[in-house]
Amino acid sequence: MKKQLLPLLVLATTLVGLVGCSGKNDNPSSEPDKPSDSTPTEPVKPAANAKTAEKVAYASTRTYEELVELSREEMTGATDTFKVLGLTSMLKKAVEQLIEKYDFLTADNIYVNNGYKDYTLLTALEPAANTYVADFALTQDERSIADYQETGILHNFVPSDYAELGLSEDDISPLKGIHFNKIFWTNTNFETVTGKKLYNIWQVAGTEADADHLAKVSFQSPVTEQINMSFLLSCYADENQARIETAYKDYYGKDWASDKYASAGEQWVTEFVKNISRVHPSDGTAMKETQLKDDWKEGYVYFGAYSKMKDAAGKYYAVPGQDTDPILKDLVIAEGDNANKVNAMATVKWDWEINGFNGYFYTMDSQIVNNAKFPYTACLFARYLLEPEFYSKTAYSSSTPNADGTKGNQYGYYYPGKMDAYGTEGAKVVTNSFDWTKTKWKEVSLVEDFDYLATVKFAKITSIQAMFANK
Amino acid sequence: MIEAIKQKEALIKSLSSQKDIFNKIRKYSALGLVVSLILAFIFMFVLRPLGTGLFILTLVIVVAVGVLSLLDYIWKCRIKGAEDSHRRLIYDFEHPDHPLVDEKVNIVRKALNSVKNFFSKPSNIIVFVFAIVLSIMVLFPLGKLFLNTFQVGTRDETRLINEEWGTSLSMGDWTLLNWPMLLFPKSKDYASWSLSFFWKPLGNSVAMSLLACTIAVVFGGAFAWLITRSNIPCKKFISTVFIFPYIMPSWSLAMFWENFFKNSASAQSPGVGMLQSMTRWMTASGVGICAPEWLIYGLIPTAICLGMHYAPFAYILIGGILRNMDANLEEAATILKASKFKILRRITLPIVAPAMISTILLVFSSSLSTFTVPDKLRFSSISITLRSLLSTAGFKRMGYVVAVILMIFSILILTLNNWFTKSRRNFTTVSGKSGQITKTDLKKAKWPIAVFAIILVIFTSIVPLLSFVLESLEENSGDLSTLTLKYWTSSQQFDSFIASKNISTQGVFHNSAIWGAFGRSIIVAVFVALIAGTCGILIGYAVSKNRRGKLANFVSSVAFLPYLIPALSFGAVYYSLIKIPAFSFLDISTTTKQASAVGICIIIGMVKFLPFASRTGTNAMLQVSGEIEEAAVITGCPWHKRMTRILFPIQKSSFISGYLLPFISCMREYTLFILVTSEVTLITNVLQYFTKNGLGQLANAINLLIVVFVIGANFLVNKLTGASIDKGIGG
Repeated sequence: MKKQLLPLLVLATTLVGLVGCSGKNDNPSSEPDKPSDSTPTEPVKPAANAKTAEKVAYASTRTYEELVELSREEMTGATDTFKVLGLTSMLKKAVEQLIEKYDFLTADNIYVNNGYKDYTLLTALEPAANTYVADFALTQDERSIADYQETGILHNFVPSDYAELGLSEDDISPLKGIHFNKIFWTNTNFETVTGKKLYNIWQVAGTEADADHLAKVSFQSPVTEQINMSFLLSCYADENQARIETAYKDYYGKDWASDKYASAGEQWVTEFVKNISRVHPSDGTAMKETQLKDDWKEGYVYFGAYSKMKDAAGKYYAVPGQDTDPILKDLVIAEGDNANKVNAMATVKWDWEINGFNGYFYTMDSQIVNNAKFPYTACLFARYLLEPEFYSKTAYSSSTPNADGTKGNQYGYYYPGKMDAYGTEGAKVVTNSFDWTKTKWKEVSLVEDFDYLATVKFAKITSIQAMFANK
Repeated sequence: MIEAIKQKEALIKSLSSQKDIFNKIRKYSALGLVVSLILAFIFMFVLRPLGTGLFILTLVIVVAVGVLSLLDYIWKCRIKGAEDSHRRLIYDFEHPDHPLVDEKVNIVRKALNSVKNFFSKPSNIIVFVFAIVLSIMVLFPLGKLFLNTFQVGTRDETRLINEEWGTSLSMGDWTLLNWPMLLFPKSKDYASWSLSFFWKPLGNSVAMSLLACTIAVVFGGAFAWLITRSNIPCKKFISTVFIFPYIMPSWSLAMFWENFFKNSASAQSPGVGMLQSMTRWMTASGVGICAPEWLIYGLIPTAICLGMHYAPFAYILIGGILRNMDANLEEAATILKASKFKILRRITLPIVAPAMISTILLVFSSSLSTFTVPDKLRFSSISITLRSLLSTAGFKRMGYVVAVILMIFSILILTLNNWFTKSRRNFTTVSGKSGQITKTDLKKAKWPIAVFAIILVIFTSIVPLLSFVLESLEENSGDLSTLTLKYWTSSQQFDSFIASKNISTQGVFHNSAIWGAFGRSIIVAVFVALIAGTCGILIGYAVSKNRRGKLANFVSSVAFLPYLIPALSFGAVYYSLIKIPAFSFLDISTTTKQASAVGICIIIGMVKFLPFASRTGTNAMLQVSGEIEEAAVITGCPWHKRMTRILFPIQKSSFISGYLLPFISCMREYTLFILVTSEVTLITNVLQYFTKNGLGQLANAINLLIVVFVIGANFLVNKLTGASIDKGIGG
């Protein structure tokens, strides 16, 4: 009896503890954190032990100077560490600059972890519903952000001077941190190999029977790459149907109509997924290595992160037959460390004028993490990421120089504030002289739409998952 | 008085017959449970409504078995109470002058005495302590994972359930709907998703695991027989090299497979692999041999890699039995003029059957939840679904459902394994070791078989290492004309962007990121091995001394449970733990110190790899006769001396093998630690980081370092102590 009771006792104790510890999240999101114009009275500063949402809402009503003071107040004498989590190396530089700018911050009390991959960052943030995880997160995938905001894991800060920073209403909910894009691209040998140009999105859908159909398409699985899932979902959005239908008409010479599909976007996604011939594991590898070393004579169309061009910029390969290849022979480097090699960036053809869209324009958003120890400093940091001075210091790189050899903005990195074309008089932030402007990229891309993604039907997600599972 | 005694006897009889009925129903229910589950699984692919019904039936039977077990327990207590009372009545009847009233009065003292008596034995203290510790460290995370499947945690999870089921749940509500949402959704859209995204991958995983089992058993079993029961030459070489694939991380085998077979004709695999590169001269066009797509990616290669990885496991288990089996049985059959085939069929196979079944079940269980190999070789398995669900907003709880289903599979398999291995234990206990083992003479086939075996082990064990060496030396993968040592010797930064994050991308010999992480990995592995190994010995001791005790069985089972929890889920639970302020000193993001990450990795590793150590410890302790310790007790030898001077020296090599297994597993682990480490904490972090960032040469060099280090450590320990990984696995 005694022997039987002991394990039961231990088990019961554990279960009691378990039930006791697995309570409901009692800290759900408060009202939207956007500053309200209709507030008649001066907001009262929340108490020190107030919820993060309240503090973030209060910070959103403060001027820049007041925000600095709030941050100074909470950081002075603090023994804890201000923690920043994210997915890009820019954060480390941003923190270094922040420390330079504000005397109340030191390298000892700030920690940055930017080594997460998208899903691990989201997993890492999850406990914030109930406990402290970090203060600030620069995270992507607005569908997840919408979910986390509603759940109370993340809070949106809006600087009161957002308009002066060059942000529009579209850029503040959620607050943009930095824009990126994924695009359709090929190598520069594509036209020679296929005898075709890439000019219409329906070329990568449809069938072999279609004129100019392109059957070699490489795409990263949306089952593991959430941005690709958002891209495919965006093709279903009402706001994008017109451009997809127009492209259809231009390609097939007739208006789009279907009994089988609810929208042109749905048809495009279904046919596109069917047409994908390769599921590549990494956009970076595809852009810097595969397109040149392995697929030079294959005529592939890739869909991947344009920012990976920075990886290609630093990569040089010796390609078999490079000395006789009509294109490569002029690109072979004559001397130096990389003699007899070709720079991978020189063989990326990214500027196709594609009817329909060139790719997907998405964002890493600045979010304040629930239970933050230093919410005001997190808000200050979020605002700092929007300053032109910060952006030009961190995003400009000597490995992606402008035509005149000066440090150029990296490809695929776009400032959320006012960003002009290279050479614009008086502009604080400009695109690379070889790149298209942010405005043009937004025009030629499907743009990540927070409101649409936040409410998208799950049946669409599961249908895409199923399509890939069946491939 | 006599009347009362008679009444008690009647009561006992009646209770016993009722208990027998419960037991019978329970046994049939358990059988029905297995049948129903198998049929449900089959019908999910053929006739879904019937499959769904059968699954519901399965759940009903599970509940019924639970209720019957409870009734059985209650009846057992009632019978015991009636028997005690019956005994007391008889005693009082026989000794009217000395009734047993005093016993009732001193019940408190009696209870205290029994507690004191319980804790006077070191084995009981160990069992008690581990029961509490393991309940907190294993049952708590497990329970949390299970409870998570009955809750909607986020807005999207709530929206998804409400969208499909028309409910009006709010965030944080408890619900059963996560289960049917994944398994049997109501609407057509979700049903097709469930079929393609859950049932098919599950079917794929089952097929993959079955194939991997077959390969492992055939490959491992054949080698075990050749080494132990034949006169094949070069035994030492073959047996040493054969276990390399088990020591290597399974994903490194997948990496090798891709490196070897990828070719320019494959749509999925850009690049030229070793095979194509080496065979250019053989083809007129100079293209070389291009393996078909199905041999590079998909079911076949995934199953082969897993089969190769687990074949040493089969080799060790089956080889252990073949080596220890009583040769007199076969000799007797030979004297009776039985044919070789008959001996194999009627004697050898039945004897090795439990080991084969064990191998099949354990390989099946491990393969089913493996992620890295199917991911690398692009095969849609259930682990890919799990990872996707865990990383997609709105689907996380269904990810937990998949994790629990995988655990249920593993628990069923483990139960089956325990049931089958009972016969194995009986066999070895009765026969003991035989000094004389008749070796089959392979005659003229001896050398051809040996050459074939050597080629095979070279391909699975040496060529992967060679491929890592080559890949680390080639500027262009597969192009031998671009060999260079710079990825080992150069101090130049190979990626300026990564270098700007203060992570060295220099050649291996100059690379501070690699060596720092390598050092930390060794620290983690050593501590995990020491702690888990020691706990394993203690658990083994306690369990062997309380073989029939419920608490000991509980400890033994709970210690094995971490084996069944998917690594990412397990890591996630401990990640939540370090977010509690009291444990923030273990959180690298709080302390910014790698020591914190190392600390939490040691804790997670210790629990996750405890099953290896506890099984080894238990097996080793069960082999030691209790009389040896009893003799020491009689001479007044204290417990710690008995452990260190008697028990440990006797089973030294087995115990040290129990330390080796967690060490090796820890050195190659990645997924388990991913949430609590930075990109440079452990060597596997650096490896993955470099792979993702296109530093393939450095990644291959790291792979080589890990494998060579682990093989070297195994070899060194073997030479110094006689222990080896095979003893750890085989017990």
